[in-house]
Amino acid sequence: MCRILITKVKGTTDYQEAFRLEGLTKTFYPVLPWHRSRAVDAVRGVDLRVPRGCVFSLLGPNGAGKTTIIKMIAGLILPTAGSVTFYDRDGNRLRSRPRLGAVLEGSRNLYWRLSPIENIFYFGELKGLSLAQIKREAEVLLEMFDLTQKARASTQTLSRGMQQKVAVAVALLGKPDILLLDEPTLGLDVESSRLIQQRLRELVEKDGRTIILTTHQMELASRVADRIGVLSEGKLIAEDSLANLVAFFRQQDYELELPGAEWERLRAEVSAFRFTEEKRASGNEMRVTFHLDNRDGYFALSELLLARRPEFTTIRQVTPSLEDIFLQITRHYSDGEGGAA
Amino acid sequence: MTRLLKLFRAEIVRSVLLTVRYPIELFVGLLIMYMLFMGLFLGARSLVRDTQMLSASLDGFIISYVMWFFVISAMGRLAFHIESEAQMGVLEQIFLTYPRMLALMLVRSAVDFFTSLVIVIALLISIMATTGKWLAIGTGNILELLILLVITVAGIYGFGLIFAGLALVFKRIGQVGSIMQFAFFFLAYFPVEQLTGWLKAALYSLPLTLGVSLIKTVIVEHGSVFSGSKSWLLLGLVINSVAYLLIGSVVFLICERKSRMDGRLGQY
Repeated sequence: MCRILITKVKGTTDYQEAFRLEGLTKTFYPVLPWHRSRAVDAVRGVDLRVPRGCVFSLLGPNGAGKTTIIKMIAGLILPTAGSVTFYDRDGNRLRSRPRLGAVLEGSRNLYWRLSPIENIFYFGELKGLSLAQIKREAEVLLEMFDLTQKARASTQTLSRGMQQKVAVAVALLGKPDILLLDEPTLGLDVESSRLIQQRLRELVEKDGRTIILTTHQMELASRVADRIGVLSEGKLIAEDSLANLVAFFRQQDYELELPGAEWERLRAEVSAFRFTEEKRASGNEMRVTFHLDNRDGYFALSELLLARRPEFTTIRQVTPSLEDIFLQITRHYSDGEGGAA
Repeated sequence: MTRLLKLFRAEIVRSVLLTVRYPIELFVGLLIMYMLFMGLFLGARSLVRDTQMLSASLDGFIISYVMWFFVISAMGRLAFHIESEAQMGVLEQIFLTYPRMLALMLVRSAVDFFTSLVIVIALLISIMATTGKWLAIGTGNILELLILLVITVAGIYGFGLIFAGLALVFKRIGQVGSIMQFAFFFLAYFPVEQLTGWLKAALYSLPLTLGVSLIKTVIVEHGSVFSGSKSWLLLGLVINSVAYLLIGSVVFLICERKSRMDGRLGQY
């Protein structure tokens, strides 16, 4: 089966690197040695370079290996093969790792019986911060995430959104160079989610932090991410900036809106092209989306339309959403079609 | 302030906060331990009719019970910390924040020892007041007893580290821990000092037994372990405890690596 990276980072010397994954591989073996045949290849030879000062979003279906990669970067899971290198330092050596902050698996990152401020002080001291420093940072972080009023309430009495904001605040203690967030807004209300998104962008734009984000929420990734990596079956199958991915995939689809009668006349003529048709909710209008393989396809379609001169109302190039891009990439990969740009 | 001292302060504050915030849990725990002792005491009294003999052995009875409390604390709570933190999802956050987990566990052991000591003193006073049997603990032997206690408990916590390590890999090991606690209950009460030969040596090589025996020497026999033939046993106790601390630390480190290798640190 063909496994080709669709798009990839162009050049590696034009930016400062936050970390690099080389041949990162993880196979999970069962505890009992006689069950080794049930081993699972969670991550398979991932190579990735992430620039400093950006939000990098890892997308992928369930079981694609997103969380495993995040945890290997954090040092919580040791790789079976390959390496994680931070600023040219070996990431497997605890002493050489930069300051990392992480929010993993929703809001289960806190002592629920302690209050937000007590959690902040506990983890702050574990990070080696002075009490004065923790106090200063706590004030800023609680303010940043609208938690000042709830600072002394028991964490277990807070809403899920608030707990998640406390978890992000704790992760930000000590001003980590790299922030690892695993589904940070999953299950949150719109307001909490927006606040977290806004703060994440500020952290990157104002403080130059690097954020690695895994999510199923395409809207979140498209709002905050500078670069996107798509994982499928443990492999990185696409990686580029969001703008480049959109530009790459927008070449494919063209949308035509025209009266139903016109479409009936034209349908047989364009049968050589791949298209999907949809009746508009209002009136007798039809929306037809042509899925073209390349620019030659576009020119062929254009010529045909010019020759037949249908009375179409609009034709426009479809700007794919991140969700469209994600689905195209993962389907392309899982179908084993291969292909590269 | 060094990182280790900050770690101590963080653990003390966390431990105090959680204890003070849920006083009923603490009170119920103490009550259960007290009632268990009284059950054992009344049971022993109904079996041993000779009150003089009972009175003579009561010192040892109380000492064994109090030392067993430390076993419960060391074995149960270290592993319980791991289990409950994995369940809360906080274990990975702790590792990420302070990756030297063995150091953290050793600090927790020390903090836990002092917490347990406060509880033990309260328990001991309750037991002595109820039974009317006051142990011969005074200014003359308190330092010696404290030293013996710290050395003995260090070995027990070393053994507890093995269970904490196993909890990292297997998560739910509560049943095994409970069985081990019963085994140690038996060891705490078993009169090892009356044995001879290899069986005595074998039982003394376990954690707790030698320490209990030496504490009984100080309290019951009014002897000293810093001089005479018993000083060799004190050296044996030091070696025993250091060995268990080392073995526990090595097992914990191996289990920690195994847990990270298998991706089980955050699983429950």
